[in-house]
Parts: sequence; structure tokens; C-alpha cells
Amino acid sequence: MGAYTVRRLIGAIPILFIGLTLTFFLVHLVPGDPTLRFLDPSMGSSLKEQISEKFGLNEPLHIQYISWMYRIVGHFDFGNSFNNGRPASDIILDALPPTILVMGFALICGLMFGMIGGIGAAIFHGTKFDLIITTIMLFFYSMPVFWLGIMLLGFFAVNLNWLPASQLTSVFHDQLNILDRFTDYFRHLMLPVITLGLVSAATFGRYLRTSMIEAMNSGYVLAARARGISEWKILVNYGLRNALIPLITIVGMTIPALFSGAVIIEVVFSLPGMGRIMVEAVLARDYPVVLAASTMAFVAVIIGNLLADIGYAIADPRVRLES
Amino acid sequence: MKYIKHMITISMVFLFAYGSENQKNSLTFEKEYSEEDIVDGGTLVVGIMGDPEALNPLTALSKYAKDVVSLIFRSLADINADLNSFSPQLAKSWLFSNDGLSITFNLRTDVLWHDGERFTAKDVIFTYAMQTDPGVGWDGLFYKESIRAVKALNDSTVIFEFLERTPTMLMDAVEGYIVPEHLLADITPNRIAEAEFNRSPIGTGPFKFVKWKTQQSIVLEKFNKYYIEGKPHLDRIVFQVVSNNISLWQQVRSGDVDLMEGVPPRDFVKLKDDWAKRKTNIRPITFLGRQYDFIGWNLIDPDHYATVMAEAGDEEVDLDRLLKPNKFFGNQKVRAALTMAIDRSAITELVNQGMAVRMDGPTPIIWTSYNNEANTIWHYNPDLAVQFLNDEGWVDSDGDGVLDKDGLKFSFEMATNIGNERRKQALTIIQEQLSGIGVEMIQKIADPGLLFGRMLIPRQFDAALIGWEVGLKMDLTPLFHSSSLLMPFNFTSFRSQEFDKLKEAAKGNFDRTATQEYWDNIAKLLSFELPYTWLYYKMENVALHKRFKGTVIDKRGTYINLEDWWVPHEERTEVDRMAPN
Repeated sequence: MGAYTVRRLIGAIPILFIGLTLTFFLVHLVPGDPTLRFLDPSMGSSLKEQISEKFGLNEPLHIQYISWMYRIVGHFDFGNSFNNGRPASDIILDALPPTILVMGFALICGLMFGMIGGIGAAIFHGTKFDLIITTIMLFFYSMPVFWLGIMLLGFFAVNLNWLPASQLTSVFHDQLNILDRFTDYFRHLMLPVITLGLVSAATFGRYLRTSMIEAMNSGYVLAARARGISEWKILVNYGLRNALIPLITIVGMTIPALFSGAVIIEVVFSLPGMGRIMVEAVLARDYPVVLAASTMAFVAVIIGNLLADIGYAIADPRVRLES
Repeated sequence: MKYIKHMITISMVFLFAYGSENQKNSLTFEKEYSEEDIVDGGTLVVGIMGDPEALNPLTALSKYAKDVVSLIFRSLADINADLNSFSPQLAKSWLFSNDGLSITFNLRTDVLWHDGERFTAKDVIFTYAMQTDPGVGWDGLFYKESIRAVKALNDSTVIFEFLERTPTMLMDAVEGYIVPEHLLADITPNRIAEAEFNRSPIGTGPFKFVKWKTQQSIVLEKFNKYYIEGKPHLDRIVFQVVSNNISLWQQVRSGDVDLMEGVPPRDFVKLKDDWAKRKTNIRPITFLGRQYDFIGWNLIDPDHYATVMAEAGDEEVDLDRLLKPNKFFGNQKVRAALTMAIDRSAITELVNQGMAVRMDGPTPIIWTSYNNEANTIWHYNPDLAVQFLNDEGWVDSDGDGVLDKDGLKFSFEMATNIGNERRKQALTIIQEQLSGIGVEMIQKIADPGLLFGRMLIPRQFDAALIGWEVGLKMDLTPLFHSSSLLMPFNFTSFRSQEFDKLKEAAKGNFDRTATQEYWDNIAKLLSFELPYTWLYYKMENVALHKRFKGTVIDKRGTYINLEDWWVPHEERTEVDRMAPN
């Protein structure tokens, strides 16, 4: 098991390297550069050249690439933001908690609703209930996250005014007592988490339903029934346990999708997370921040896949034996 | 200045814009208040759409950052609503020398920095040194170009010495907020962008910095030892960062946010209606802002330009060879025809929900040099436009509805940046109007990076509909002077010996009539030459909770007199009553 993990980790290094290289050149290929922010006729024109020089943008691209890679590998230094001069890694670390919060709760919410929906639909396979659940899941599955977000925001925050429309905390959060602070967070996170949770619930539910139906139709369930084991026990021990194995892979693979979903949701709900940082950095061509954020996303994808594989190996001994 | 009022109409804005220079536009209160009614206390929650990058006057670039900085810091003097004279701030008074080449400032001696240190002449000298240090990259550097040196006579007297006499000497001297020498002296100028000070600034302004939660909020608090006794009145100002205007507008309506700039036009129209019917607590404030939109015609041949530039490489290019007239817009008569084909009044009524003001020439209305008799570009006249084009040989010889000349169809692209609804609307109307005289215009909506980086700066475009923000210093040199020909701003590649001559003649001229004559000549020249077809000014829309009194919001900004704002006891909300932390 340990050797397996180590092997997978070593395998991730070239992927990370290739990914970073591609991102670097992709970001620099996008038209426009950070100095364009200074395109205002009331400012001196020499400023543009000065800024270029200060940010090292006057160097040839391959030199910029080499020094960038050297700083990351050698010093774990992603450089300072062109925009506010803070280290890009600090900016990312500041923005990470809200994103992880949204992602984490959305995952829990998604798994909960997905399992209820998927198992329910599988048990009542072929009935009207199944049809309704499947239709609802298909509805959310095909829904773009930002659109669903805007609709929920419009309904619950604007029309009904039940929940706040944006931000992670209210203005006077710091003056509240601990319990009220918790409620404050809860109210602010509710809409984004539900939006993202519903979409991932649909993904999980659909997979779970299929694999559950498959498991319940398999030979070992038939054998168990023949042995007179109660239907409830069959469902949990034979059906669910086997149906959950593919779900582990799906959850692992959903992490990148959840991350990109969270990024979009943050922009819709004005949450101070990675999404806002990335969008603003891309628009301002703030290369160090864009690159640091992409690196973060790469790492998330690699870790997601790795966790899925390891989880899979734990749940299914056959994988371990083969590897 | 900003024209603040309830239920304003555009024609009223015009009256104010042309009105007397020093008029005070105080608010019409629902109830009349006098000086004695003013009470301290209250909190203002401002919604801003971006997190400031730094709260250091030397490195702040975005509007959000500059707005916050303007409350924490003070400069030597502050520009008045006439955009010409100044009121004292950190300087008590100033005096020009007999030769007119230097200004002596008498500084206040009762000013404290927020950390308790005393403000002295050393800070002024230090600030000037930082502002002009190339390593700092301060964005107002061009103000200081005509200053030779700044010297301190004693702790409370500084002299600004100039290289030459210019009409803007005082503005150049006082531009920029004074920063504390005792806190920044140890920082290497080219490391200023990373200074801790940028995120915990210490100033001399009415409000002191308390805390900053990145991408969330910035809290400022009343500075009790502010040099003007009894000011400011408000206890606290909270800037909430809300990244999109839909959410922000929602927070204004729910009462979570008191002040928002840039209210979407559609919502603003509705707000004005509700306010008139007394159905809302949010006061709509609209005023003529500093932004205008125009069409810039590429006066030169883009392909030829690219070829010559590529051949030249790093060598100096021969301007005469570089600038080959554009096949369409290189001709003044064609530009006049296109200008006449565009009904600017109709566009003004339609774009931005009608919250725009027609622009008739190159001088911005807010400048004191504006003269409506000199700013008169060709009015809408499609018949004359057709005639002008026919005279220049553009006729529809093949009957396809599009003019042509020597086998070349009059068909071109007009570009604008993505994400600007107002410009997109204008583009569509212009397309329609141009097709009326047989000119085919193709809309090109591009990412701003692409538009500026790959089209305007390398001159690879036909025409562009974009906008500028008017600076307070009157100067059109960056846009039209031949010295800026290869610079980003003169993207139409306008080159006129007459313009250069006028500029030269005006240099060092102090006389008011002569200055006015210079500006009139410039305006007349550009109105005739038409490197741009000026379209309209955008009206600014601000929403403010009505409990705030004593507010002045005008073209200088929304935050110009925040130290005077106050909230009557009977109108206080829960937010006002929150104990300061």
C-alpha cells in the first residue's frame, strides 16, 4: 500500500511539471499585458516601460520561464503580484479557506442528497418514484452552475430576502458572539453550498443508482436471497457496499469539477475565495497570481485522483493485489 | 464639481455645467438642518466592486484604492469645485515668488500623523523624493515634470522651485498625498510595492485605518486628533467588497450597504421613480462624470505601418515613411462625412438609458477652458455627408448599396471592448446610421487586452469606439501631439504641425485670455480635423441612503467631503448604533 502511494506520487511529478509549463506559455500567449492597466492618457507614457522593466516583462519569454521555474522549484517562490505587491502564495493561502469551505460542504451536501436520491431510485427501480427522482437528477445534472446560482440568488436573496446575496460574513460579524457568528457563516454559505451541492448530488445520484441496480441484479444478491437473508441486510451489505466502490472513483474525479464549480460560484456570490482571485488576476494579467492559482488547481486535480485511487484500493482488495 | 440633487434632468445638468464657477450645490433636505443640528456618530457602509491593491498613495492605482486613500491621507491643498483654484489642507497658505518660478508653502504646525508623530516639512520633502523616484513608479509623476527642486526653509516652510512658468504650477506642486517620512524612509524605493505600510497605512486625514480583510472589507475609524476640530462627524466607514453589481445593488436595496457608485442604468431609472414617489430610503444622485466615449479613426495605413515597423526593427523609424494615409480615414472630408452621418443626439438619448450628455468637441465640459463656441463638430446631416463622399470619389457604381471607389468597397470594422453594454448599443446605432449613407461598418467586439494590445497600440485597426477618463490637468498633448505619435495614447496617429505650434506658443503663458484663446484654437482645429468623432459623456449614478446629510458629491468624486457627512439621531439605524470596536 505504501509503495503503491509512493509510486503514484512520483508519477504525479512529471504531470505537474508539464501542466505548469503549458500554463506558463498559455498565460503569456493571451493578448494584453499587465502594463495595459496603465493605459490612461492622463498618465505619463514612460510609466509603461518602467513597469515592464520592474516586472521583468522586458526579458525574452524563455528567460522568464526559466527564472520562474527556478524560483518555484528552488525556493517555492511564486513571485509577487503585479497588482498589489504581495507574494502570490500569500494571496492564494488567504483565498483558499473559503473555497475549501464551499467545496467541502458542497461535497458533503452532494453526497448526502446523491446517496438518498440514488439509493431511493434504485430501490424503487422502474416505478413512478424512480422516474421523478431520475428526472430531477437529470435536471440538475444538465444545469450550468452559474445559472443555477443566479436563479437561487434571485429567488432566495432578492425576491424573498431570506438569505444574504453575497460575501462570507456580514458587516458587523466581528461584534457578534460565537453562536451568532456561526449562524452568520451558515446563512452566507447556504446558497453557494446548496447550488454546488445540488449539481454534484445529481452526478453522484445518477452513478449510484446505476451501480446499485447492477449490484442488486447480480448473482451474489440472488444467492443471498436464496439463503434467506433479510432484504434490508442484502441492500446494505451486498447492494450498497458493492455499489459504493465506483462512487469512490467518481468522488475523486469530481474534486477538480467541484473546484472549478466553486470558482464560478464565488464570483456569483462574491465570496472572497480562489475564484475571485483567479478571475481578477486573469483580467488584470497578473501573471504570478494566475500561475500560482493554476498550480494550486493542478495540485488539487492530482491529489483528487490520487485519493480516489487510494480509496479504491482500500475498498476493493482486488486492486491492491493486482498492483 | 458634482451636481447633486434629487430628480435631476439632463437639461438641468447642462445648466449647472455651464453655470457659475463657484456655485455650491448643497442638498435639498427633506427637512432643513442648520449648523447647530449637526451631531457626531454614525457608520457609513460603502459597497465597492474590487479589493484595493494597496492603501499607499504612492502605489495605489485603482479607483477603489484611491478612494480609500483619499480619506486616510491629506495633501498640501485640495482642488475646488471650479477645478482651477485650491483650498488649503496641510499648507495654511502659499505665495508665488516675484519671478513666478517658485511657490513657498506655509505648513500647518498642528497636524499629527495617525500614530501620534508630528507632521513637518520633512514629510513634504520626502514625499516629493519618493514621488519622483523612478523605482517607485508613482502614477502622477507627470505632474512633477516641471519642478526643479523642493526645499525646506524650516519645519513649517517649503519652497517648490520650477524649471519654467506654467499655468498649472500650483496644481503640479500640490498633487499627491503627503506620506510619513518616519515610517517609509527605511524602505528602498523599488521595494515600495511590497511594503507593510501598503496594508496598514498611517496618514493625516480625517479617518484612520483600522483593519483590512482581503477581498472582504476595509474598516476606517474617526481620527480624534484630526487637525480640523470637530471633524469628522461619522464614527466609522466600512468598505465592503462585493464583486458584482447585481449583488451590490441587492445589498443597497436591503439596507446592508449605504453607498454605491455605478448603479446599473436600468436600476437607477427605477430608483429615481421610486424616490420621486417616496417609496424608498435610497437617494439617487446623478452627475456629469469624467468619462466620455468617442470613435477614433485610424488615420494611417495599418499594413504599411506594420511592414515599416518590422523592417526597422530596433532602429529609429522615419516618420514620413511610416505614416501613409489610411485608404478611408486619411481624408479629412471623409471623416467629416462620417461624423455628419452619425446622429449623436439620437445616440445620446438611447445609450445608458438616456443618462448621457452629447459631446460636441474635443474639450471636456468640466474643464474651465471649455467654450461651446469653439467645440462645434459637424452636426447630423446625412445628405451633406453623401455629397462630401461623392466629392471624394466614393459612389455606388455597382448598385450593391455600398459606396466604392476604384474597386474598393467602403467597408470597415469598428472595434470596441467586450463587456460594455453602453458602447455596444452605440455601435449598433452607428452601424445603422452609416449604412444609411452607403457605408458598411462591421462591429468587432474584442477583449480589452486584445483591443489595446494587438489592435490600437500596434495601429492594426480601422476605427474604434472607446472612452477616456478626463484628468483634472488640462492637457491634450498625450492624445494629439506629434511627440506622442508612437505612444499608446495617440493611437489614431494624429500629426498636425498647427497643433504643435499652438502648444509651443501657449507654453509659459500665464494670461487667462491668452490661455483661453489657445484652448479655443485647439478645439477649433481638432473639431475640423476630426481624428475622433466625439460622441457623449456618461452620467454617473450614485445611490446613497438618505440619512446622510451634508454630502457633496460632484465630478471631483463621491468622497470629497466625507468629513462633513453626519447622521441625525432620529434617522439612525442598527448599523449606526453598533459600538466601535
